Amino acid sequence: MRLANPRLKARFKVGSKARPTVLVGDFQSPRISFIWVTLAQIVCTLPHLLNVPFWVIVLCCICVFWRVMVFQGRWRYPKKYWRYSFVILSIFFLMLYFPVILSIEAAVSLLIITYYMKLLEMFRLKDIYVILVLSYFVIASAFLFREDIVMLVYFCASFVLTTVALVSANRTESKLKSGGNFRLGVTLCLQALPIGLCLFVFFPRFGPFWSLDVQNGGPSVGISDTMSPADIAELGATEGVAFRVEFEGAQPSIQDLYWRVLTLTDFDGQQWRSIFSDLQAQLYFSDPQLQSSLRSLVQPGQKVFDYRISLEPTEQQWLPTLDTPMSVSEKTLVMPDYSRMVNAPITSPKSYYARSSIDSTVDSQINPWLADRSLQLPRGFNPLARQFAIDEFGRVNGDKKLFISNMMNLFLESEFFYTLKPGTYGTHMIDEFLFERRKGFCAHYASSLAFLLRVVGIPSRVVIGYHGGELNKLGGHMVINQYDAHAWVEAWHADEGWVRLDPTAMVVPWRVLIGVEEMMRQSSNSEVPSLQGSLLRNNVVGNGLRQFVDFANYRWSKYVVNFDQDTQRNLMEKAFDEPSLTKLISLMVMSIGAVLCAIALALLWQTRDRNRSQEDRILFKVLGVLGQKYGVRQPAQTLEQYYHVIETKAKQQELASFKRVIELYQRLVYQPQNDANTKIIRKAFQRESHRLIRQLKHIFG
Amino acid sequence: MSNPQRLTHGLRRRFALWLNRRIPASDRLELNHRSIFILPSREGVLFSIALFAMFVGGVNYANGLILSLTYFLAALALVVILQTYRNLSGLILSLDTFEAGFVGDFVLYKIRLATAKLKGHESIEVGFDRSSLTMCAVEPDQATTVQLFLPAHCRGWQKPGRLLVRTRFPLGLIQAWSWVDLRLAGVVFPAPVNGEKPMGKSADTGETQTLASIGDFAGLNSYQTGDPLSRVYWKVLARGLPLATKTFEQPNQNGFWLSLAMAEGTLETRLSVLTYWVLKCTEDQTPFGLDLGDQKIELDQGVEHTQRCLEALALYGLMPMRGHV
Repeated sequence: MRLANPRLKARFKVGSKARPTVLVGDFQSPRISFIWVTLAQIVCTLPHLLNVPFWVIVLCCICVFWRVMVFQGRWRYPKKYWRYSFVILSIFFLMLYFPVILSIEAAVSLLIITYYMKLLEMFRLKDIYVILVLSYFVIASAFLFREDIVMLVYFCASFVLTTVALVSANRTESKLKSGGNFRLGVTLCLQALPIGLCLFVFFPRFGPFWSLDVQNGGPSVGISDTMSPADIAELGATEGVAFRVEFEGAQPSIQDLYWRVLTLTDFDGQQWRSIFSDLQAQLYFSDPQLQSSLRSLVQPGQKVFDYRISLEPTEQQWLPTLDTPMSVSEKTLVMPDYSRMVNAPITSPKSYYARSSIDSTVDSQINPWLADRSLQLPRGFNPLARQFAIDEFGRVNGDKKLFISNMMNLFLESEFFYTLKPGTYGTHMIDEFLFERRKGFCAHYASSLAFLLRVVGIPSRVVIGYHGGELNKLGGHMVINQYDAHAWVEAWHADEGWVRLDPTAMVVPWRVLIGVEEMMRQSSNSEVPSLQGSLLRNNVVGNGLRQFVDFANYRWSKYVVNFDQDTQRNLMEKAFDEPSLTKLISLMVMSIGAVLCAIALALLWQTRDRNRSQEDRILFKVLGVLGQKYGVRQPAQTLEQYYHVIETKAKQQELASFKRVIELYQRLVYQPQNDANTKIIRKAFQRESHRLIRQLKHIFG
Repeated sequence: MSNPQRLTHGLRRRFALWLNRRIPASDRLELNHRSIFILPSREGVLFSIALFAMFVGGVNYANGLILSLTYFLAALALVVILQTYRNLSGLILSLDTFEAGFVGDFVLYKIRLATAKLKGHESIEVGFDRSSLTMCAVEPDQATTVQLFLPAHCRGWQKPGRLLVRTRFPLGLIQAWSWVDLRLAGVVFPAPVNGEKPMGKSADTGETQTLASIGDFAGLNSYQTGDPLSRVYWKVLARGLPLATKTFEQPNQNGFWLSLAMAEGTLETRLSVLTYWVLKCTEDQTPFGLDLGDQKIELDQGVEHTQRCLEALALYGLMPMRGHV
């Protein structure tokens, strides 16, 4: 009995066959993937260099070094008990180093340690997957620390590298060119890009299930709720952005850009302190009162400004707004002085919308308790100033408005100097300032004016915040820096409510008109300290660069980092009349589907069937139709054999036609002719084939 | 069978029937959307769990960048579905050859992979079950042959059943696979067992074995009429000498018959003993014939003859496969 299967001569020795090859799951990953994985790991860890303790970094370097030695065949992997004891030791050290073990830094450090220790256990394909999944968590945790535009570069680099590493781990040994891996990884990422963007824009966003805040525990930045002149001076020399503002529509002129943060009412001779962070004070003012006051803020015809603020983390709870704020999009506590606070320290960049009206009458009726508090002065301090105020008040016969303007003019007429370094003042600070030295900055001026007003019974308080801002020409938004910190005074009148008085404007009107920065740039006064990086500012190119980076950062934070529910809702409202969740989801599904279809089509085109010659295609068409009618041709059958198979079933006419087709085809393909003949034969072949097809189909249908 | 066993057995049968309808047996199969299944792999499931954890973290920390990372990773997974499918689609599988083996040894199947498409296929895993797969790659213009070994347990036909073709390229998150029925049938020879020589009736030594050219060249004889012309040494004639015939030293001309009836023991033992003696005769270069009752293979020598005998022994008493004579 003979078998029809093709076969080789058997080897007639038992056990002569080689053992089967290594199983797929246990494949040692290709060596090139080691390089990509380590590279991906290093890039993913880069931002964390600043976030984790130094000794963790050293540990990671040791792990990498060991692994490279293993790769080169010089060392062996450490044994299991070494690895485990290492991890336990690191946990112990972490607990010693970090006071709070559940903090983000400790968790991230532990993650990084585990991440690198996995390198010393990297044998198989499964291990590579573990490392790469850990990579994703490392990348995500990096975003908890920093979110500015530099992270965009990091995002792209780490995403591409992890993808390339995954690709390299999955290829057969024969295809080990590193260039191929990289190109494939990049192609995949590029294909994923449009879908990712669709998801980014259209995937429904919602608020946290349970809110978590990154407890950075950093020092508080900027204005605090106590103020002494030294504090403001310190701020004056600080380099750093406090917040950025984008106005919708009209923008007030620089003189009117007073950004209210806090008011300070209690004065102890040296320091001013806010009373509204005191819980007692908050309870005293009930809500309905405030709401009605807010509503009555704007009279018809007055100017209202809408703007968006992007606030840098301050570790404090107040929100700067334009004087006087009417509404804020964020959930805030409205203080009785109309400043705004949130109920948790701000540890990450925050953005909110607000509406303010300038020149509104605020509090035309004052709460007696507040009035009383705004008049209190500590006994025994600054007797000269006290006496001076009483004398001056007497001279104007108790006309409060005149008194105020006289006091303001005092700063203008006498020789007062504006400087950020006036030297230290003694116990009777205001006496010294007003009558001896006459050198100081906004804090001194505001302090003194408020003091003088209180002496004569005008309720007044110091307001601290910021003033002015730097316009970013590229983005059209304003940047308010820490050195724009300012202090001014509010005095209460019976019919006008709280009125703003800025004594500094009297002394250095241009400080108020053009802003501190411009003033510093123009002034050659050595008393005015130069800012760090002023070289960059004074240089046109440097300044342009700085502005560009600021613009990019602002746009990045507005459109990407702070893209949330509200942004989505705004987008949907712009596009549809009645936006709804279903519409959003269907948009998302449709856009993703469209992109996937495009990719599928591109793939189909790319992997289309090999070019069959035209004759082959026509022949296959004929065979297809014949097959439909009389039975498919087997793959190994020749044309003649197939002819014999259908001889019994087909009609005479069709058979004759088919025979002719076969003959012509064979002549075309197997017997090369000169060009002219080939054309004739080809034409005949085509004609005959189409005739046959028509015959078959005609009877068919 | 216990109840759970009965259940799984029933399910498996149903699945097998459904597969037979969906991917019918064929000598040559091109993979397309009808034959390819696609699902996330185990790593893909882990990946999605990690992705979900990241998503929850991103929402709770209200961190836009973490959410972006989640979105782009999800997008990558979606794209990879298409890529993995494309890597398997268009692959053409057929049986190249197979090498028979003995019981306890392996049967070797050579599967031929080719592609009808312009682009090659990478990281294709082929095998008979999930635990033993061989990886290969296929270029667009050339065919690749994969060698698959299957342990041989009992003599006769070995039907490995469906072949698993799988790929997890490029990222290993999604796996596309197909169960392909190439009508594979291997032959397993009985294990040789030493036993008494089951000699049947001796060969008629009277018969001249006009076997073409076995043996070593022994010399020239003068030509006798009747000597086959193929054995004439023509060069001598060219020199003018009379015709001469080449003679060969015949090795042991005393061939013998190996008979199933003469062996002892059960059928399998008898076949094993016969196998042993077939192999021994091949080694000694003794001509032998095989008498299996209803089947007789004439005295002969050589690799082909041995092959035929072993196959006869292997398939004794079994039904012939479809397509075989």
